[in-house]
Amino acid sequence: MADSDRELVRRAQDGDPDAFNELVLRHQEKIFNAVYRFCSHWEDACDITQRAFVNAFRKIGEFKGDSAFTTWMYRIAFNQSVSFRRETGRQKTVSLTSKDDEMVREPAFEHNPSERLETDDSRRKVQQALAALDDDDRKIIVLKDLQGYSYDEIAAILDIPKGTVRSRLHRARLALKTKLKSFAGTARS
Amino acid sequence: MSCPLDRDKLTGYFDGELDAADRNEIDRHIASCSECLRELEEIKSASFAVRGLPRLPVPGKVTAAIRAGVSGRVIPMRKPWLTWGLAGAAALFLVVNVAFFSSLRREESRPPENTDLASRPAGEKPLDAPMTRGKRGAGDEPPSAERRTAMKKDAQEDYAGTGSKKSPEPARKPGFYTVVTSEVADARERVEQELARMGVRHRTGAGEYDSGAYAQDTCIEVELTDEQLAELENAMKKDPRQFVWVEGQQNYYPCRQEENARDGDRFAGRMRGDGSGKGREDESKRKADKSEGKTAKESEEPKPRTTPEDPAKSAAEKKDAPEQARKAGPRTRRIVIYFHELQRAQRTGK
Repeated sequence: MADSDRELVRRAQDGDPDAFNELVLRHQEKIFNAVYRFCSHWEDACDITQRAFVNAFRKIGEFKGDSAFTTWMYRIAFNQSVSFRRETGRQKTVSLTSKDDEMVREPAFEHNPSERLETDDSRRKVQQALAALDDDDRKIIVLKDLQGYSYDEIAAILDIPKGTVRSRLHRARLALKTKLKSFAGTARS
Repeated sequence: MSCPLDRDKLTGYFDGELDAADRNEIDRHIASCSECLRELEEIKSASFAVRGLPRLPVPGKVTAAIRAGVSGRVIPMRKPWLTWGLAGAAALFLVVNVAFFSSLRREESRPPENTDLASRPAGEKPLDAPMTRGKRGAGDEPPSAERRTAMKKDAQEDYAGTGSKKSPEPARKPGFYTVVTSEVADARERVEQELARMGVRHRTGAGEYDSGAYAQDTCIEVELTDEQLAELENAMKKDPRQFVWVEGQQNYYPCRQEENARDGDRFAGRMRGDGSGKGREDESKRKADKSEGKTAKESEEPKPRTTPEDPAKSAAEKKDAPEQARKAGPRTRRIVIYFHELQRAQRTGK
């Protein structure tokens, strides 16, 4: 049976690099996806994810275990995202590089090419709308609607009360909807 | 006149995070308040838009960069007193080893009783060979790049719980999907119809919320090929009843057989091979088996063979394994489908 995260962290703290590598393999996909949807830039997401995990490894001795490992990783990853943006002076816009286009393409079960293009375009608009939100709103939508965490888990990750999670999420979703409508309106015109 | 309702509750209602009293309040309210119903639709629409974004694989270069960043490290220490304690223990260990090996070398300077190297047990290293860590492969050299890749695949397969260590293909994690619907029974029936059409057996279970509550018949577990999964997805998305098919699990724990087998009261565990709804007999049989002390596995799986294997035959069988795999058809993987109920107001027909 696979070791729990807690056990792996303990072993990593005792100097076992394989234990930390196992934690990376378990959690890199969700961290990478959260970072990518937060920063809206493929290459940045790659750099930020790498930095977040390396930072986590360097600070693993400081992790007290009073929260889940993933809670701690998300905090590091989001903080790293903000620092990275500050360092690079990157604007909060959606990068429309060919790499991003490849990555958002769906698996080929849609037989109608125009249907697939429409899906790619609509997803790009969703990503644009996400990028247009402020950081707090974007984080909470990523954690709830993308990653599927409960209010309690989100409260732990963001270190805010549970009531604030609900009110912020409500505001964020309405803001996102407004952005989506405005992008749709722009497209039509 | 604007509505007096605390609108945040609409979000809590949508996410299933309200207590029963608040949930009932919203149920009653949106039945008569078009403003709040409209806002609920907006919330739903925004949420589904984000849920529709695909989950992207991690580029290999990211994993490699993390590994490189980690490997050039100083081993982290937890606390200063621990650091000094470990340093002292390391120093003591070194002294003891030096003393031990020094005494051995004095012994070795005498002529050995048996100089025939062939008599040394196979794999035994000379006493003065450098010590290796237990986790490394055979031999004293660090693992090759090929071996490191194989070790990584093993770790991934162990985590995924799929495949075997000997499988040459990379492990694929079980897929989780959620069908968001106002009518769970309709959606489940549609999935079961489609699976029956494909001739695929499935099992039905209880999806469990983070709060610890669970709901019967809200989870289907099935083995599908990629093609079958695509057909199922297509059927669900094209159904006029507007089921929303989302990749990923939403606030549910996995519908695992081994967990459910231990908790017989909570898991339905019914096998519905033909979608006919027969299964209660299976459940009562399972309960009877449980009372006799049999585990779920013992009662469901065929008895293992007891006759000893013929080595020649098993070798021949292993040789034919690739051919048999080709004949067996494309590879399936475990898919878990959750059914998430959404609009209670619509369900009650208000």
